Amino acid sequence: MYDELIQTEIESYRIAPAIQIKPARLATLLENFSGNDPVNTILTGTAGDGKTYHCRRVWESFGGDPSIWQHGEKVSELVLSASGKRLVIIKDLSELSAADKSSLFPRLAAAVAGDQSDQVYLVAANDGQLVASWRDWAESKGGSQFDNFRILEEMLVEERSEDKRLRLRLYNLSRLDAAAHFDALIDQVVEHPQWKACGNCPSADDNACPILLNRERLRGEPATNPFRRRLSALLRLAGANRMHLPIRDLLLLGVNIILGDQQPGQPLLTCKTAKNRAESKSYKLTNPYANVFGANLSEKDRQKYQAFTVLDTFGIGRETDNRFDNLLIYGPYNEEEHYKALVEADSYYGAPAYRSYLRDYLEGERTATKEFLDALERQRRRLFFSLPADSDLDPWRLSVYRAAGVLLDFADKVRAGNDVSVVTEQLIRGLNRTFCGMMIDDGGQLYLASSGGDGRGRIATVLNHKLRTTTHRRDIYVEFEIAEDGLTPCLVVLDPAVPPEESRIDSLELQLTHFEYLMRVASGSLPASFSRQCYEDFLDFKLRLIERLEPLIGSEGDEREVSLQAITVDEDGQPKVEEIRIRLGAA
Amino acid sequence: MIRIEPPTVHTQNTSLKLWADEAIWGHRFHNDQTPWLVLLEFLAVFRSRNEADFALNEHRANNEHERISYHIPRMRPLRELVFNNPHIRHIEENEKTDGDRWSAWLEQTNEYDFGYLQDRFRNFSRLIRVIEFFQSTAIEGHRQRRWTSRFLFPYGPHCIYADLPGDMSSPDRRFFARGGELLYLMLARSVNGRDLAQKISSRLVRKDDQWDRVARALLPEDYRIEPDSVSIGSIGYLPFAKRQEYDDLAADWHRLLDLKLPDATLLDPLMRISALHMLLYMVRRAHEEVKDGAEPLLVLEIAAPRKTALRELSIDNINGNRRLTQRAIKAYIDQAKNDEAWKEALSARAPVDAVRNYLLKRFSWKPEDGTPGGDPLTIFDDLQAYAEKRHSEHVAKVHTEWSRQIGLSVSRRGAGTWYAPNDALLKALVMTTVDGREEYHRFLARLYDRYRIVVGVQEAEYAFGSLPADEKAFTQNTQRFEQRLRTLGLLRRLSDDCAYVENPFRTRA
Repeated sequence: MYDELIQTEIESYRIAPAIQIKPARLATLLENFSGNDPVNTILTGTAGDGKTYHCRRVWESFGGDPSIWQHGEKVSELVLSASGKRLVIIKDLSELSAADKSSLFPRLAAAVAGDQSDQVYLVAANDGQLVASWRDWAESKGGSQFDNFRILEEMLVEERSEDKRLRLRLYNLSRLDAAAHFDALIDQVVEHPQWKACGNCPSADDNACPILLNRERLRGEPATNPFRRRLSALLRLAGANRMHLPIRDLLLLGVNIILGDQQPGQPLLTCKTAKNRAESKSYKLTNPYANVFGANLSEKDRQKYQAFTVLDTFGIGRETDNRFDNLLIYGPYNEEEHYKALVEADSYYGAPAYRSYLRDYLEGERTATKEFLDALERQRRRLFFSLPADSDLDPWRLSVYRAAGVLLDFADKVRAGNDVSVVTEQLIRGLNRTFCGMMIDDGGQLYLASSGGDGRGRIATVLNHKLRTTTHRRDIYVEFEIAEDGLTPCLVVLDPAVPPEESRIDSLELQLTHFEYLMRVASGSLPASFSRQCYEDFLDFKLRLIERLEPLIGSEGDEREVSLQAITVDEDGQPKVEEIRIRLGAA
Repeated sequence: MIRIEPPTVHTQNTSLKLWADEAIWGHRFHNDQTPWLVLLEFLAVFRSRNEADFALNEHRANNEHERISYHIPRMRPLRELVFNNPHIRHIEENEKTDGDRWSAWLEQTNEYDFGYLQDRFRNFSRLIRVIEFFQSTAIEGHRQRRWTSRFLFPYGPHCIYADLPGDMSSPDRRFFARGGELLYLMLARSVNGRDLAQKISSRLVRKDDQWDRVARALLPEDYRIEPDSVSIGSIGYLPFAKRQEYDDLAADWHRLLDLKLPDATLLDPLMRISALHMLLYMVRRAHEEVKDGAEPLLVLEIAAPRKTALRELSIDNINGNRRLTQRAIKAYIDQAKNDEAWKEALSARAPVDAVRNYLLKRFSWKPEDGTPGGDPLTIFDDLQAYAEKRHSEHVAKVHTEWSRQIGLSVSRRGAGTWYAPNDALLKALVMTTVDGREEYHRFLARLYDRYRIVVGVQEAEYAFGSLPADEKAFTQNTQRFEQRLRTLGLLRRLSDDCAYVENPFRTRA
């Protein structure tokens, strides 16, 4: 098991103190198991999220012998003094044999159902494993066992940690805030006391060692260090796009930023190779901003690590806009000051690593265009991670998610209760354009329109409903909330006329991609690349919403006439709703 | 399985030259009838039988075929307005006032006096917008069909009418080729047809649908549906009284009709899923006829940047299914030789006559070029050749054409034809297969159980006994499938070993 291996490694390299983060759920677990009436707990999450680690800490906290743990037993038991109950810890469900599982599940299920009171469980499991093996068992039993399984499944998918019907807490460690974890890890790495050992190294004196340089760039709070700030933002955004990085990958990422080396052969720097790079001034090989994306690894190796595949989806360095490219290419002539501050000033990874390529390019040398473009990409990445917070350049223009900066700001403001009307209006405009298939400029009301036929046509000209976007005491309205992760906006449709617990008619979480889609549609540009999924999601939402609203605000039918509302858009982008009344014959 | 004898009204019909495809699969499948038209024809039968209060609850005397007659409206004025009204836009553009437009238009419509529309719509342009709306939402509007074979989207009962020849006289069997009748019979023979009929009439073909009411407003005051209807004396023939496929098909109808979606949105998935079940029925029947004990199989290649091993497999698979129906016809005709009657005919005093009469009778054979001659085996061979040729002209084409039309297969020039799903079919499959949510690998297993669809390793192993291609090819196929579902907003991955397929429409409360 990974956790056991690490313990051995820490000892053999004599790392003290060991790098560790506060196990996010440990306090909750300890509180639970030291109480009079502890509740069964299951820890799920992707491999590398510290499930076993949590278990070990619980074991040790309640007096379990570390050497017994290290021995590798799959199931460990001890008696909890407060409650007198026997705590059964399953380090990893997937390690259990079929026979082990078939004896475990009846007891575990009974405990979870509240039928067994002398034992309490702490189980670590990958969620797929957990669902599959529990289901197999529950299906064979049927009845309430299967119902309980369904509740567990619901909790897992809906990311709820409790349910009134079960004596169970379910914590998905993958859902914890990767950004916060990463910060905690990086702090410990870059501020580790054993860096002192570098003090005697000659490379440390002339500030040339790339390892020390890279470490230095990562030091400082995210509030003041743009590198840390952007890394943190990227991890938050990835989470909001349902791409979660396990802790193991966060560690790996931190290490790679500091030690990554693009010289083929050995992907990480050692003291010796670092010295060589410093002597030959080959800093383009040790660029920490490229290391973020695993540039020191082969394509195949990069694909193996989630950290790099996830961060790659942001397209940083490949995406750009004219302002950035003008600065990087013509800046030395047109924007001298800016160029000095943002490019020249970085005497390792800035101008020195770029100047010669740019000069060749500007002088018309075209044999090394690819090298120039690579260097340009490295500069864009460097800028992304180093632009100060108050720069008039928006770093997110260098990513696929150009509106990501707006999203971060929007989420903060919604949570703080500040005014977000400008962005709300843009989002609603994007929705209106998507729902109606017309270039509507109005962002003050939400127009739900049908295309006729099976409803999937792109252009929808028959207005079904028009909803307010501001709070109202009587009419149904829509507004934005922020989901539990603190970042994902959620569009909710509310009916104020009914009790609060029934007032939510429907809701739609806007993942990062959705948000970007709406902001781009609102501003009139839309690349086909990621429009598909979003379009389908919004269309399904629209169809569902029209169906739900029909009984709530459908108008009373008149026997003698049909009345339709046709929606068109005028030259100024204003929607025009025309009431069409058609008298019916007697047929 | 109880086989029902075909009603003589069909076997003795002089325009039916042979009873072979019909005996195996029913009367009848036809490649010119697309899955949409199958659904429309079904709705027409349903509408009529629902009026008579027998919808999907038909009486069937012991081992006899249902005797069902029904009528389909012609709806001539409505269709004239929408599909045979070419000058309307020209008039709108060229006449200056609303009054001029009305009079110019009314002048050149001579079949009917549409004057009543001026009173109902008041504004000429408004009428045009409504007509355009119906045109733009017409079923398979992109197809070049004669105007009398163009169909409104079936918003309600007034949008359902007969396929007619140009003169609008007697019904035409080109596009309403009885496929919809077979669908009706299948659902009527499923376990709870009655409940289903209730669900259908509460959600589809509703009189109070807004657009159906608009369609009604296009009809003259004194228009009566009944006198202007086409009567179908007897419904087609479906050979087996009970089959699992009927229940499976009906179960999917129930599932779809239970979804929380605007009613009209249900028709597209109903069309696809019904045709898929009917294709599976055809393949299974063919296996039964050739007695190879095999089950239908649909190996899907999920579109990849480069050709994969799965595509090869899928091409073989679809070709096999195509050839299978030919083999079924051959086997069906061959069976005639196993009968005592064949031996008796051969040993009769005049074996040529005896064999000829036996075959003419047995297959309701009405040779087009006179009495077949030659020795008994020649006559038999002629029959077989004719049966195969006849089969190859229409029924044999159903599998490929329908599977392409419902988004189950693709054809590429130079590369062939193989099973590869489009987005609309995928969505329909999620709607029928996933109640709320389902683990991804269980979803794959269900696709196999229900539709014999093979995407991943496990199902391939089941279906083939051993893996017919590299395991990696299947794993990658599964990954691409997951990616596709995710792109459609139908899949959510929780962690590296757990993903859920989600039906965004859930089930009605």
